[in-house]
Amino acid sequence: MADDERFLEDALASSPGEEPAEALEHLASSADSRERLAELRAAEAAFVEAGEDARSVLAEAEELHEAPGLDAAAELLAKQVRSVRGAQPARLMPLVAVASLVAASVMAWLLFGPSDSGGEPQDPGRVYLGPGDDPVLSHPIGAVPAYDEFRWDVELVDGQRLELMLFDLTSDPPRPLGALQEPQSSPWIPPPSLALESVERLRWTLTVVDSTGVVASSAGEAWLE
Amino acid sequence: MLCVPRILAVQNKRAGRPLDEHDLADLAQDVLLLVWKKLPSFEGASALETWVYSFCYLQFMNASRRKARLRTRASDEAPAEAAADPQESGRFEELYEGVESLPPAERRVIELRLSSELTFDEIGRASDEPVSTVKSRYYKAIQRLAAFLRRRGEPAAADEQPREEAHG
Repeated sequence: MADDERFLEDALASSPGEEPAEALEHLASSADSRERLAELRAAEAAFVEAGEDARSVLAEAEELHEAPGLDAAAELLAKQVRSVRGAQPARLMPLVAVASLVAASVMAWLLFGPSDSGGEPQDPGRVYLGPGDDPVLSHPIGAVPAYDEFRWDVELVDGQRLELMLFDLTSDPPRPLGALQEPQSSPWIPPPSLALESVERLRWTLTVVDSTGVVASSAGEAWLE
Repeated sequence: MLCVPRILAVQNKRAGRPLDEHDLADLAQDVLLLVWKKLPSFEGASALETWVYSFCYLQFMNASRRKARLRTRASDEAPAEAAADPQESGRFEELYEGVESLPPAERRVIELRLSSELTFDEIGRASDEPVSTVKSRYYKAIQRLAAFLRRRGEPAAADEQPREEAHG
């Protein structure tokens, strides 16, 4: 029975027709195993179909500019995020982390609205963070050859940390790229999994937080040359 | 999470618009609150939209059924002229219910493999687990799902638990 399970697992992990020889040999000798594999393959196929359907719905949803309840949803989320910000931080740290991501999404959507995918990108202007007038988000800002690294200048005091979020501005509304990042220092090198080379235009927000919530925040915009 | 109202709008359109705009706005709020409660279990391995999708799907199906029941009770009028085949629009409902019933680690592998189309190697890297563990979780998950579907189709069918494996 143990071998039977192992062969079935190996067979299922392979594409149909590409099962390992050992598993094929076992399947050829056992009608029961063939029947079980067929049932597993059928369940798998049903989920593959559901996955395709889900991707198709998500793609269509991404194209929608209007939807019933969209404004109310943004308000509701902003309210929820504010309530989490005031909650006990230690117990709710995971929720606070995700809430920050949601807050950044909501803020981006509410503040910057649907992006205009056509025409020249707007001048990102000067960006500031923290006390004084020094611009602290230094790269990437404006037209750049690549989003190879993200640089900024800010002084943190004890108990403060950084949260970095990236948004694809070619989506409407801006789509968060990856999860909330918590860089330790500048520069921050984006992981290849974010696939930023395919993002034509992005906004990045750098937020200083402590146990009470947001201390300071700034956003910069960049696009590929 | 602002994808929720838009996902629901697309689902409603595809199902033949069983819900009106007010129903959809109310449903969007309900789903958002539900998703919000479950956010602590979101591990960030898959895209947030993918994770949110099954909640939207199942809640939309529930709301459509409720609406259809109310319509039937309220009057003897014919069903909405635009209504699509309910079996067709809800054909994945049992699948998503099955996914909901999986242990979290297995659910994550299924979502990454079948919704995000990652390879076993990529899932291993994303979840910081050996590929053998990922494949084992996938096998167990598909076993549970097959048993779940079999049980739904044939009420007297076999146990839902996957058979024990001899290796890890």
